Amino acid sequence: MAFIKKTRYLLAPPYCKSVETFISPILSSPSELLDGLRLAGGWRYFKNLRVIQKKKII
Amino acid sequence: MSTQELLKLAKKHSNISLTEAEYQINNLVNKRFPFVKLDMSIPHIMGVINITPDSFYKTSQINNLNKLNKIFREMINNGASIIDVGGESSRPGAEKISIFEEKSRVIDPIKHLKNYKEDFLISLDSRNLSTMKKCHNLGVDIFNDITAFKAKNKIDFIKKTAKPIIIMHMQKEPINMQINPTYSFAPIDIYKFFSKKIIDLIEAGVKKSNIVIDPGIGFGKTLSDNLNILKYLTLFHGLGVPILIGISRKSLIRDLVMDDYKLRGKNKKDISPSKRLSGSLAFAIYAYMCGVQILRTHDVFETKQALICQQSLDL
Repeated sequence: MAFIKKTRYLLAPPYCKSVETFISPILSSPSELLDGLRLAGGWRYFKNLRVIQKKKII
Repeated sequence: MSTQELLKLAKKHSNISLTEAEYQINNLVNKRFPFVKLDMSIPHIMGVINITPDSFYKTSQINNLNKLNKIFREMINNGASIIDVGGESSRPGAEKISIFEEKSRVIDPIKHLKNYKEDFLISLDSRNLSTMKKCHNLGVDIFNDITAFKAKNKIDFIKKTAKPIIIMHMQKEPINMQINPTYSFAPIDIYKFFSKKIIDLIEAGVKKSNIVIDPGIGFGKTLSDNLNILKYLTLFHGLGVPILIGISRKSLIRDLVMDDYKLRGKNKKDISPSKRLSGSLAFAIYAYMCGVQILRTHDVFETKQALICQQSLDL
């Protein structure tokens, strides 16, 4: 079981060599997010992301 | 963090990081290809038809053509785009049946469904190549494999027939999948599994537009794994292909409500699959709000009604 730590800051720069970086969009409806990006051309929109980083095992 | 902030940080680090960040965001944003002929910019419902005597939800078990007709009509009239037909139960602890037995269960129902003129697709829920081949000849539209087309001969078949596929994640086999499933962090492990799988399938000649992924809720996962997958469901959009979720009446709902039910002095029957509709609908709506394109359910009418209500608030 991994230890998941929630922080306001990144562990390392995104997509750098020492960590794996994954992004999970935080979704809203179009009426709530007028300047958001459209997810997969579908019905949900996003502007912010949850970034998950995992140390690479070297 | 906003997408702009991520790009800015990635750019500050290196061009390689920036390229990767842009690639990931594009994967989230790019419009999905139609799956078979279904527009993936709107949600679709897949109705479950189990031609089995031992599926976990007894009401879904079909053993004659009259019941098949009745359930099929209900599903199509209530808005199912896909009918998923399976002849082998994959509930936890289910033993594998012979391919002969599986074929004998699904062939007649599929032949029967093909006679209908309504606009719908048939998917075959099977892990057996021989059954897939037989049903391909009968005109099945989609192959849905709980083993994610692990065997090379299945991939060769898919490449040859150019059939759309649904690849599901599962640890071990149905008979032993719930014995000590282990992940470092289920959403990330499963994301990486699909990431590699999609690359392998594309390299083998399968078109990306023919792939849908299913994280496999309840297939070799603990309650905590299932909840983490759901909490991080939007992560899977980063794979750039449509997502299917099957959570209808699964034991996850029982596990979540069990303590509350015990406190209220209710018994086991109160949390049997037949009593899990409300939980199923709650999760279906959650999946819709996570942008999941295909909802696999036993309850098409109820799911469609819940979807319409939720959609009316999105306008």
